[in-house]
Amino acid sequence: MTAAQGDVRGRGGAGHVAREPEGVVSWLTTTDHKKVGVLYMVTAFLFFLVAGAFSILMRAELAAPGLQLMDLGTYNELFTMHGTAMIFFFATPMVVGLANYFVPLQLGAADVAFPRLNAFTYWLFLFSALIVFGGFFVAAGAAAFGWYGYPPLSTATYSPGLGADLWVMGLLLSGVASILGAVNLLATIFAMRAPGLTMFRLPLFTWNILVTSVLMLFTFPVIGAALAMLFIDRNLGGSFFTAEGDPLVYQHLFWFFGHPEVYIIALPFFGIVSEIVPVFSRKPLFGYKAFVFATVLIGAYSFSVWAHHMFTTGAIAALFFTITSFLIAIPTGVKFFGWIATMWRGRIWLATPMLHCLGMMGMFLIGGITGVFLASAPIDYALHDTYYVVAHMHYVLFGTGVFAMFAGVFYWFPKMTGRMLDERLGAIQFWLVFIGFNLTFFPMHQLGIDGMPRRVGDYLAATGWTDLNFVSTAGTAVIALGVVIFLYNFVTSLSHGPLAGDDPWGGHTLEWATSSPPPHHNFARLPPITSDRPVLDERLALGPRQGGEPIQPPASRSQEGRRRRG
Amino acid sequence: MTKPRRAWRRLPEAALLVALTGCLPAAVTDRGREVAWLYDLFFVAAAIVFVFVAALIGWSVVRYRGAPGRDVALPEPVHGNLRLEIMWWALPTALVVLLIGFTWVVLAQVDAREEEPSLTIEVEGFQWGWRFTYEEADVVVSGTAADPPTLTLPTERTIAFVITSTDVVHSFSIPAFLIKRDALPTRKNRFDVVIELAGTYGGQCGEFCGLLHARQLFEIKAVPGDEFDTWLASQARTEP
Amino acid sequence: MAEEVRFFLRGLVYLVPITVVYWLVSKEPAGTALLVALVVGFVAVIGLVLLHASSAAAELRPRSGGIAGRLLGAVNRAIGFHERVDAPPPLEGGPDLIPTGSPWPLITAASIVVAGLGLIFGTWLLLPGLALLAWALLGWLTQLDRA
Ligand code: HEM
Ligand SMILES: [Cu+2]
Ligand SMILES: [Cu+2]
Repeated sequence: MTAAQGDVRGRGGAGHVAREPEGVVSWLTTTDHKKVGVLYMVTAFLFFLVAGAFSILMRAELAAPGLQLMDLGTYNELFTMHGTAMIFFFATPMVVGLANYFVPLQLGAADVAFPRLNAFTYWLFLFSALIVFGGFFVAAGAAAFGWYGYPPLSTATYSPGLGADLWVMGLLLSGVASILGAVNLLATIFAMRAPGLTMFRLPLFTWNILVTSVLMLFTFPVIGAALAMLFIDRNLGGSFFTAEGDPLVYQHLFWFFGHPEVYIIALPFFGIVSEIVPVFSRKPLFGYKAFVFATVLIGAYSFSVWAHHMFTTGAIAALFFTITSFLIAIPTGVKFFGWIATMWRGRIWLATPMLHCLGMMGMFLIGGITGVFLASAPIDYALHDTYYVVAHMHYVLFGTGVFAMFAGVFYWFPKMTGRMLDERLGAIQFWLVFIGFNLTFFPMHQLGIDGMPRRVGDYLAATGWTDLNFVSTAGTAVIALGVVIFLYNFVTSLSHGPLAGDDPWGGHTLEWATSSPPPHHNFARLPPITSDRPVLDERLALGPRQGGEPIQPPASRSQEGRRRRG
Repeated sequence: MTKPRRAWRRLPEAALLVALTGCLPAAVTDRGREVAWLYDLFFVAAAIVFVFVAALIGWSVVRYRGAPGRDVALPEPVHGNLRLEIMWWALPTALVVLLIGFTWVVLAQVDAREEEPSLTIEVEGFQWGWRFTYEEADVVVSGTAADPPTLTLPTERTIAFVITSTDVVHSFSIPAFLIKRDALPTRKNRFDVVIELAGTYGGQCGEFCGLLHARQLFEIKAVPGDEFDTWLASQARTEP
Repeated sequence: MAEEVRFFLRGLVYLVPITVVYWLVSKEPAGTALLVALVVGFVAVIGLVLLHASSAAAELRPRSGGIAGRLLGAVNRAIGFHERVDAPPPLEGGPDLIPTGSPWPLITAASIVVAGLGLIFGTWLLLPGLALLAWALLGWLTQLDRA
């Protein structure tokens, strides 16, 4: 504590001495939000690799008609676990990890509100994920009823295996972790802001995390209830969702959670894009309040659209859900205009974070547009549960969860490690993933229009779906190559990347006011906060030519050796 | 301004133009015609929005691209513009209202039910197959994954499908008709349709229902009314 | 502090009417119940925040003026987009002392998982899990004062 008060020399207190124990034990017992954040992110990324490996197997099987690699049962397990893991064990915890690391920094705070609770939610998430994956190691295999586990199929009668129980219990516990994590983030944002940091000066990433936390707080209890009832049906003789009960109620409960979940994943990544675009356009964000308002509206609207996933049940108010779903397009469109207006007349620096943001905008634009098709009930009658939906959902989820995630990783890696990722490799990776992604998923629109249903491990050659499926599988290989390049870049840059300095990009928000990596207590001093971009303000106040440290382009490792910090 | 090496920005537009050729298959039913029409309308709107937004993004990147690195002399900081902001709330709102209006009309047409359909088929999904009952004639056709059934239907007559399931959730889906409806164990679902074009149309379960979901196929054979009548009569006679 | 409250009030501006509309057009009980629960949840959070920050309540309270003026003022104060920039720091709280590391979060999570698996595999696992959980919670709580 004395260090935090005493050391005001550098911008980040380079003289600070860490006092946590080193080594494995320090990770097992840590309550530092930065370390917990890193644990979250690394774990989530590992699950991304696992779920990605499942998708490679699925795509390999679908490259040609007939069953080449596996039987239908295995395929069913794979897509179930791919979807489950991507949503619950990759995208959601990745969001929580990023929030853990960067929300306190953006607030100018020393930690989250409840550091131990924070560590607890991480461990609970990790263990519950392992429980779900444990299904692969029991006799009957993993759960095989899709990531939304509709009863009666998911009841004991039709899915008697142990893997299904592990799936239910694991998701239930990870839901508890998510609720507690949301409480923690809410309390942090409400209670731990630096003096002068009013709500309307919060960085956009933090605003998006705030709305996300509210969505998590109110929707995870709903899926928790659904899973608990399913668990009772399966193990304790209940009949909430069996044919004597009402399986449709489960669908309502699931999607009351499931649709906001899409925004739990999307909003924080919108937030990341809204952070990066101004920095790399070298202009303040255009229309800050419009962004905030759009974020809040998306959050509120997302509670009232759930049954657009149930149009074909014929048992819901189709027009109501068509209208509410369309409404979401409006604030989403506003965000696009805001990003564009921020770039307009800027000086765009096309470094890897910005490149990935542009990729996200392009892909989410397509995903958003196809979403409008699916929101129209009559069109959904035709396209529901076809590959069109698989295409739509990946343009949305991959566009945000992967492209914007990489944008954030390239942007914040220097903050977390003090070193740069390699820009050239990053650009190559971007183009590989971008091309591979579109090769994989664009043809799926046409497959869906041609009537190919999702969740099938096989199809007949007579359907004429073979060529497009083959293209799609080839694209997956290209994505995989891009991801491998990222891994190489990541691992080598950790120890050999050029030194980054505290603020390599010329950031606007508080995380750039401390050293890289930040000391245990985060800040030695805070700049005065009179707007949503205190670091930029301070730099401007210092005059255009002496703006603190010079901002230099991060050199490619090949071009220039290690650069020392000034 | 558009240097050739920036041509990649055009790629998404090109891709969308490619997709233009990929409209919904030509409609073969009365309701399908409405859906296909609505889809086309959406597609035109989507193409305009996509080209507009992608072009704005592309243009700003190309036009305002700056050198990497040190740039402390920032461009004139602009934080907002009320007129612009009103415009971009209004623009998507107008478009959305328009699309809601058309959806409203088509939804009513597609969901419309005939008081007295000339033919009622009870559709029962089960793991893993289909049972079709011609209610008026008391004829049953059924088949499983190993031997998928063929449903013979008349053209130019209103057919009502009443759909249910005996176990888990399935979905009665005929891509060529541009429609599907879930088969739920706890309720009866219904849609009506008039087939306008004779032919053979593939059908497949649309909601994941377990191990052999991928094999839960059926086929619809649409024939002219008189041909259908003869067929049905022959079935009724052979049925005990 | 009032902006935190306004945030949820603005949510209610949409959620309350949509709940009513949903019930009227669908008469569907499950979804309506969920929406009602959501509204109640929002109200509860607002109550919690007000409880912690009486300054927020004061900021939102109606002031003088004619009936219409007070009404409009109240609505504007409740959901308007303005914020006192000289506002006192948000909710009192947050650790001025950063807790040192603790093994208890990990142990507590592990014991909950054991207990959860006990619900599947039987009491032979459930009981040890609960015992472990009790021990972990005890450890966690007694460590708190040494933070
Ligand atoms: C790494 C590249 C990826 C590939 C090649 C891929 C491929 C696929 C494929 C082929 C399916 C359809 C399976 C079927 O219906 O038979 C699928 C389903 C799904 N994917 Fe992905 N995916 C990828 C990444 C992601 C990401 C990043 C997310 C989410 C953040 C995601 C979420 C889902 C979900 C939720 C499903 C639905 C699973 C279900 O039907 O239960 N995927 N994926
Ligand atoms: Cu949804
Ligand atoms: Cu099926």
